[in-house]
Amino acid sequence: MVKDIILSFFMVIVSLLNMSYLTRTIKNFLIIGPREYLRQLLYISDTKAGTLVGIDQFGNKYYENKEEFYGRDRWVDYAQHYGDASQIPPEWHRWMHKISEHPPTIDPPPRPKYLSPHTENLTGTRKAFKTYNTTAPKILAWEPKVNRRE
Amino acid sequence: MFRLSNIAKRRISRTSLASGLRPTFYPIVSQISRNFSNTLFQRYPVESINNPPTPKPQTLSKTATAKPKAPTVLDTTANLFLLTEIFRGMWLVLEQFFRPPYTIYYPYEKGPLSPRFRGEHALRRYPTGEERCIACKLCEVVCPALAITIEAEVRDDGSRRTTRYDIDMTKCIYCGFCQEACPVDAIVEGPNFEFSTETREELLYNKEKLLANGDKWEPEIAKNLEANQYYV
Amino acid sequence: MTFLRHLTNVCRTQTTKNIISHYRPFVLSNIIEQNQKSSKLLFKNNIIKRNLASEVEKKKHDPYAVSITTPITQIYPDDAGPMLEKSTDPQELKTEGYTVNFGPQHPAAHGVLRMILTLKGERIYKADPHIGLLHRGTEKLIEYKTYLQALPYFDRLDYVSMMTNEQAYSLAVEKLLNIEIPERAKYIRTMFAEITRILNHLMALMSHALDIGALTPFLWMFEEREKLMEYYERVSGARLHAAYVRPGGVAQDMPLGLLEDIYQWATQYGTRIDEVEELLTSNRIWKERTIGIGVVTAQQALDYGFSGVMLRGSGINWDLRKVQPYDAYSEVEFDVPIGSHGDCYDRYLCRVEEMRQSLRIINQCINKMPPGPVKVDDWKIAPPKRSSMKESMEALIHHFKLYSEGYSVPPGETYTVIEAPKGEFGVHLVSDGTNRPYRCKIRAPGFAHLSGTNFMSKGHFVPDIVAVIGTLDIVFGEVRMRSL
Repeated sequence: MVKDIILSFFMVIVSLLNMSYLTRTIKNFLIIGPREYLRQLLYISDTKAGTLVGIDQFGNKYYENKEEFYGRDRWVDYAQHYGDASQIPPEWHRWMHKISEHPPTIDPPPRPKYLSPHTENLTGTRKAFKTYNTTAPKILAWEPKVNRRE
Repeated sequence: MFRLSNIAKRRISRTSLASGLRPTFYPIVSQISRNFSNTLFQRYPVESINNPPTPKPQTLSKTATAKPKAPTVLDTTANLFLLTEIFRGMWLVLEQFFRPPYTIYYPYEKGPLSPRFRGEHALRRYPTGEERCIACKLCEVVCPALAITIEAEVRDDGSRRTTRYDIDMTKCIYCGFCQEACPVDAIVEGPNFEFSTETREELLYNKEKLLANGDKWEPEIAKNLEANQYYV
Repeated sequence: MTFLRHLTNVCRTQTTKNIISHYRPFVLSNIIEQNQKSSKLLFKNNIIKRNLASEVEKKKHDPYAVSITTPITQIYPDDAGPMLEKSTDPQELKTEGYTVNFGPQHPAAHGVLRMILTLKGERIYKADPHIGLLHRGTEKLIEYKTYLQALPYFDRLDYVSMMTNEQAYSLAVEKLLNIEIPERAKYIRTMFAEITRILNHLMALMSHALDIGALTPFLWMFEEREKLMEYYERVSGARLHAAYVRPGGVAQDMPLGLLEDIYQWATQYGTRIDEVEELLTSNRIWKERTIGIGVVTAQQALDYGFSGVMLRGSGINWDLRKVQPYDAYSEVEFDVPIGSHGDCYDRYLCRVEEMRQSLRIINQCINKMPPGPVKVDDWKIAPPKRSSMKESMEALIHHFKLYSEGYSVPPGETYTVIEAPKGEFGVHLVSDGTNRPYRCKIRAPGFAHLSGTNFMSKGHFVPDIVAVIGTLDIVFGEVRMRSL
């Protein structure tokens, strides 16, 4: 908690240094309130306000504000503290990257029956992919058999 | 509780990619300073789409060959001592300071992609759940980096399927030829590019991994293929 | 082998009388050659004798003190340049060159350039670029690939101007196949070649400015590069290594709305060039660092095989888009900027103006973009559409043939050149009638330009070598792809 406070204090200074529009920041601050303001400084390190477009199955919140620049007009608020970009499921990935105009809440993509649950990039964890052979061995290895010594 | 002040109510102008990542209004000052710019080369006005470039060879060649006016001694001296060009440049930088940043704050905001994007590979399935790949080995043949290895056998039900479908992602150059070559849309290069790993070993994908990728990304892959179907 | 033998001499026999064997290994071969040439002169000037004497003196105290103090200045007595007039002062004659490794990890040595600078005082006396750190054997690899498979290799040669490389290769293959691509494909290629030119010049100019010390324009212009790479991505699926221009046209048609976006981008891009020019063109620091630096005379540019801006900056009106137009360049109108002094500043101005001209060409391409197919209508060369491939047996057979065996190119050879952003990018393709090239020799402009560093940097200070490298616009992907 103390670490967070120190961090957020640091982020306030950083954001004051690279604050773009004073008016934009003030406006967004007035909309979202001080609590969310500090929270955003901790994560996005910018002050943004927009409409909540949807929440995915993991609890990541997706926002949109058409008044922002192209590229900054859609953003995600990760449910986890250490938000990783691979936590975005494919439906929302499509929306986040502006491949589709509409979010999956309006324009749902096909969900085939074999669809597996989304996982983030598991590298560095115990669940990381480790390759293995998918074929039967083509050679018969010689297994030495030693006669028991009597 | 909070009331918007008049300043805060002012809308930030909406821009799209079309007008660039910049606001549509352009600071007036740079327009002024641009008139004083003393580049030797002639500037060409940006043609508008309504007025295609009208061929005016005479006027064009006239201006193109016109010699730039040499600065007088007074100009040069004033420039030398008043640091005019330095201050003009610094003024431009100052303008930049008050423009909103165009940095995209990854991973909270992400850059645009197109349906054609060639990212991580995936093996797709038919809607029934049957894997599409028929082991024709066209992707293996066309791969310029020799990253794909395929072995095939006849399955118990008599259909021909791969037993090994390995892609060495460390060799792959993401040229998209495998996707183009595949006659059944089985191997695709999906939209995912966030598959970086800590060890190289994790990048030696086998058939199970590729199928798992397909199962995971199918909603988006299907949509993207649909979006691009009239072009390929 | 003689070289190796000398090396072993250095290691084994410390008592040898031959002074050459005590030189540092990497200048050894040069020294042997040069010594044979200039030994007379050296003896005439009494340098070798004196030097031998001094070496003996030194060796008395420290047997290993000889190797570092290489009298390199004595090796090139004729080539001394204006700053090395022969002095009568005996102390002056003894001063020796100081060797500096510039790169491969120097931030201003673009990519992996390793340049060995020999300094006399603070002035560069000799610059010796060493290549080979990025050698990938591209030309040999291409001989084992089909004509389609060889295409992605070209993206990776000059990885700042990807599509022009593909274009050169595609044009070469098309010339051997004797086919004419559709109009729309020509215009798309021309437009993207010009987009590529802007991409490349942005990188070249702004990293040049960055190396000299102007950080700001580099960061600004990367925004523009980002947009252009996004267009690359939208049209081909990859931001950098597009594999988009294919023999027989282009891979796919442009997606809907792309042309409009490129047009919108082009309307605002002129002001961005103005901004950069505002910062650089008249700036006295920039002028101080570039005017009179790295002067290339017209004769030198021709002698060293320079091309592109390096040639035009020296006042030679030579642009392959004008003199032998390819694709749609004969149908668009543009001017070719020519420099007058041949220094870094002129080449900078030329590049800026070329970007403006590229903008002009892009606008004309957008306005004139004809409808129609983007590939040749020949299933023996260009694969059929996927929809027909899935329905027609004949198309499926062609699809399989094209992606497995590829197409056979009639026997013959061609040297096809285009005006790549860096200069003349040529592909010498020899076909023996099979489905893969017999030989593919790639003429990269950067290689010829790099050989000019020696004379361009002679007599300049060390920081000026950075300006010279920047103005050469070198990308090592293309320099080192040559089969050595």
